[in-house]
Amino acid sequence: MSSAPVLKIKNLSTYFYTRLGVIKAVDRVSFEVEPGKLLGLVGESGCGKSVTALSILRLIEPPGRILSGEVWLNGHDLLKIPPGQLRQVRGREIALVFQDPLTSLNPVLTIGTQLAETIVSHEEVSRAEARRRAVELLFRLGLPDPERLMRLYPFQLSGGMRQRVMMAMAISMRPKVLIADEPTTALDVTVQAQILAELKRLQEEMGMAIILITHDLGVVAAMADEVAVMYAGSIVERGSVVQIFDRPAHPYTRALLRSVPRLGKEELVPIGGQPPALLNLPAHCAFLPRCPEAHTECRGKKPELREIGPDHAAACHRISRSCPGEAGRR
Amino acid sequence: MGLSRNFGAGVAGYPATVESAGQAETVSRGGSAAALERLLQDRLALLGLIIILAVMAVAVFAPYIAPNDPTKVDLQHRLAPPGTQYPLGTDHLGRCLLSRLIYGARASLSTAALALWAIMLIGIPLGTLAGYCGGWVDNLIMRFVDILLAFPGLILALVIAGTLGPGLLNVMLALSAVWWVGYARVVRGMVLSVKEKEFILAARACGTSELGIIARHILPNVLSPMIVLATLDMGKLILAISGLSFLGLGAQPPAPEWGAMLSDGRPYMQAAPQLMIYPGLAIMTVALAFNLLGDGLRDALDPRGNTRI
Repeated sequence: MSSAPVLKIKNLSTYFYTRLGVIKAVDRVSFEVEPGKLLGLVGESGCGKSVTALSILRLIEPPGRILSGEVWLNGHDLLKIPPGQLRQVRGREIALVFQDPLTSLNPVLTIGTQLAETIVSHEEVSRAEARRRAVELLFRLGLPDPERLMRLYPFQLSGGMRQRVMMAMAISMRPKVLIADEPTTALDVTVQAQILAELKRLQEEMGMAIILITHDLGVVAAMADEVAVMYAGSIVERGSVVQIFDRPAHPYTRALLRSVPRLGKEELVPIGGQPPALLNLPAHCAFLPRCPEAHTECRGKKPELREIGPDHAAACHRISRSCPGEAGRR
Repeated sequence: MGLSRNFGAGVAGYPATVESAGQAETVSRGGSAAALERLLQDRLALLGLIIILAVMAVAVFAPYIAPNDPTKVDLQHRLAPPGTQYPLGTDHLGRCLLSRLIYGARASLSTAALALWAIMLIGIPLGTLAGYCGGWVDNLIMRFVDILLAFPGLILALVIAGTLGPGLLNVMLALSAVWWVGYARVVRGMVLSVKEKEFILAARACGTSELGIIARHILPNVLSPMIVLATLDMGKLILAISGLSFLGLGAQPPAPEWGAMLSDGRPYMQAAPQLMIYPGLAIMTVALAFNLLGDGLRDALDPRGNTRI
């Protein structure tokens, strides 16, 4: 860890209290991001990535509840500050880009109105000035003819354009942290690459920290500095991108990497079984039923995330501190 | 009522997506312009609109149009047949029927419009509050709405108007007091579905305040069904006001009002049927016009737009 982290999350737990029982969507998650770095938060659908993102901004609605944890930004614990102050943090310090840019734009307001509104709600500027800055932002994101774009409605834009608008909105206040929740999932591949390149460029220009939530390991390998792998609401492995891809320690991470298609690679190995339902999770390791390296000791208590090397932590009973990544290998 | 699916004018009306803003010109007119265009292509709606505008003009320029003073009693020409001095004849006190009809448009339209404003002023905020806050606020408001809905609206209005005493203002108050519940319910339902949309979450994530979210994100999405509902209700309100006036609770003599004119003409129905026919026609025409326009607006503002069944 070179510089001080800009965002530090400690022991964050968010549960959903449903009629059927408690869903531990996020269970004691801790990680941090340094300024100018990109953290890839990886995992299967439903493993708690998005809920983690929403919890950071305290956007969890009932029946969900943030049970415990700390989210430190600028010396404030976001989970404790009053709502008025929280509103100033949202958008201004941390911005969120959602997965589907069509549903996250208001269909009845023009692009210009929505962009200007974000600016006006955070700064004492006139509408005209806000609109001028909005045009600038759109231009900056490489959108053609921003003046005209301002008068259009979301449905008149293509998916890629909408996501650029969302990003323009997100960076309008020059946030310190940008959380991008699967920003490219709803787009086609060529547009995906453009959007990701745009994201990287903005990060370099503005020096913000990015948390990129994705299930695309290829994207993570190309863009991330740090990687956190989530499984069933918990982080199972965390480390620098080199560590994770070269020396994956957790059996889940390894299985995940084996299941990614690569040119000239041997056969794809899917992960057997299903991800566990988050309802009434067992007391032992959540990956146990699917783990190829499971052992009797795994039936005990759920493993804690622990350091297994420099810049590398994993939550698995089978990993010894001395030889990370050797668990179960012969 | 099919209203809850109207999120925004013309959203899906144009499925076209544009890759560059250059191409966007062809579809760059917003939802409201497209909706207006669709409305104007609808002949019945257009007819309704023309009738409404005409009646409005008549109401506004009543003093210039009316051939006689609507309250001037001319007992020598009681129940006169249509003629040159009195184009539609006179009533039982010899007052000019046409002039009374013309001035009656003022009473009907203005009372209905005022009542509608009052209804929306009560119904929309309460419905929004109930839908947005949920929980006990929702329960409190909606249970009260349920109580009001348990009574037939017009009977309740009759009781209130009767208690307050006769007069157009009291009729307006009575109608507003019972009518807002429908708006509260519709608005609540729509707010409930709009507030689950991702763009509300996105707005919140941008740090928009709760009031800002309601004003800038929720209400605009509720607006177009409200316009339709309000237009349709104008017709119903005019009928209700005339009905209450007919029963003697509304406009008091000698003020001209269509419902009251019907009531006044009733004893002379056989000798001078025009005393009932013309006010009745006036009420029917205006109510019908508002219904035609409302139906047209509903089709025009429907996001699914052009496809009409």
